[in-house]
Amino acid sequence: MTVYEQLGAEGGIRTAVDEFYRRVVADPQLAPFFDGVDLPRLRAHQAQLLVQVTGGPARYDGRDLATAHARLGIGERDFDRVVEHLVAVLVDAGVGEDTIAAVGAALGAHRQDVVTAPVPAP
Amino acid sequence: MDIARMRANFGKAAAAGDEAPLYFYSHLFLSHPETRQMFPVSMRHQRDRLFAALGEVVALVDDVDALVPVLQQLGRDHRKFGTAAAHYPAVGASLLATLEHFDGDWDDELAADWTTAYTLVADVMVAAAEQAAGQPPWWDAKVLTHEMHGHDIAVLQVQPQIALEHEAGQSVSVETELRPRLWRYYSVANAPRPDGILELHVQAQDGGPVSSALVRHVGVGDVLRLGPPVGRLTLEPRSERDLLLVADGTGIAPLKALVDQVARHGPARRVDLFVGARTEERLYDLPALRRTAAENPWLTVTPVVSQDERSELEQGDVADVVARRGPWTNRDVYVAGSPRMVRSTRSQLVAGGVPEERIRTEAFSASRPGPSVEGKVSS
Repeated sequence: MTVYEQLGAEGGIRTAVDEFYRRVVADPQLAPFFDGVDLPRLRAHQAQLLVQVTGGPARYDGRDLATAHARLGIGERDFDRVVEHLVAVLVDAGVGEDTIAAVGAALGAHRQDVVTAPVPAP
Repeated sequence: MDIARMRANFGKAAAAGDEAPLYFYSHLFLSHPETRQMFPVSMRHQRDRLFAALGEVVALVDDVDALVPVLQQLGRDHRKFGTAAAHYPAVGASLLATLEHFDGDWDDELAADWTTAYTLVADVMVAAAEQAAGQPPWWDAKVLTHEMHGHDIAVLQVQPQIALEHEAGQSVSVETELRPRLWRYYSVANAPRPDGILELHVQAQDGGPVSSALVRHVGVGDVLRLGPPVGRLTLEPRSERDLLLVADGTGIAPLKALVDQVARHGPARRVDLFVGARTEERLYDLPALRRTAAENPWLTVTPVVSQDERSELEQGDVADVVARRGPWTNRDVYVAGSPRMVRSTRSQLVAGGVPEERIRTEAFSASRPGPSVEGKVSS
């Protein structure tokens, strides 16, 4: 079974993505990144991307991740905060440990595309 | 560090029951997927362990003298999982994320306190693991004998292929290839022997995957993996006091090791051993104990049954029988077995005037969570 199927195919992934953005935009640390963003379009792109990287049909037609995040100035702490929300969504959806590790492997490969802010001085 | 506040915060995660470990492991595997292969295929038996272990650390956090040896054992013990220093920050980040997730009052101070505490814990564990680098992370051990007692208890003699040095009263963790990456702790039932053989007593528990496999599926010639020795149910090195030993179930194993220690190395002292069971049939090791007592005039063995009216043995709860036979005020006391018996024996002995610091205990739960602080001198 592919990770795509374990996540409940398109329907399951769309539900999880909606819940994920509901949490993320409600988080004061993360909300500023979404000012003026076309959320329905973002959600659709995110769902397409997840479908594609988890073994579903390839339909992602958004920009590559590095380009899409280049000017946002996202820091390590912001990325970590997003991971926390994603964990909560996946746990609530009853996703098992192996699938979570597979999602983590797919996500981790793109961390450096997303985190663009310089590391703050300690 | 505001320890009271940290305890309250930990309590909130602990109160969430299964959800907290589920969140923790999900966070760990999502942010560090490479750690997934260090854990058992089925996480069902794993999830409660982390928070149980953390709970013990949190409970001891202001008693550094007791905490440090526990952490050192844990650090050495973790080498068998393939744990490296690089994994500690990953676990720390997931722990903090979990403590934050279940606490609406989380703030930067709490985060800073937990970071400090976790760093201390990790440093002690890593240093102990590095000091043990000359030892193997685990020992392969061949099963020489496998003897059934009744339907659910097995006594195994195993031969580590490299010498495994332990102290009488300590435990080792055991893994069988039938249940990969699941390790459970069993007391060694003998003092160190010249031939290096270890005797393990295993009771199959309902739903206990490792114990069931060791009792029902493992046989002579199979190879088990053993972790390094842990636990502090060991003889007080500076004491020559007489001993009172109290056990039920497989709690007899570590106490038998203490008897063996006295027989091999002294010092000469009286040893009174009480061993309880529901029925006479459940006193699986009684014939061997009686042989030892017959050979050693300094040893008495008193079997006690609690639900066997046809038996001619002493009747009652072993804790009550021990208390009636007192006073034991000049003894070093070692108690091992079911949590209920251990609690009852300890409280009755303390009420009877035995100083608490002379009572060492080890409670065997259905699935022993590991190098625990139970074996510490009570205080």
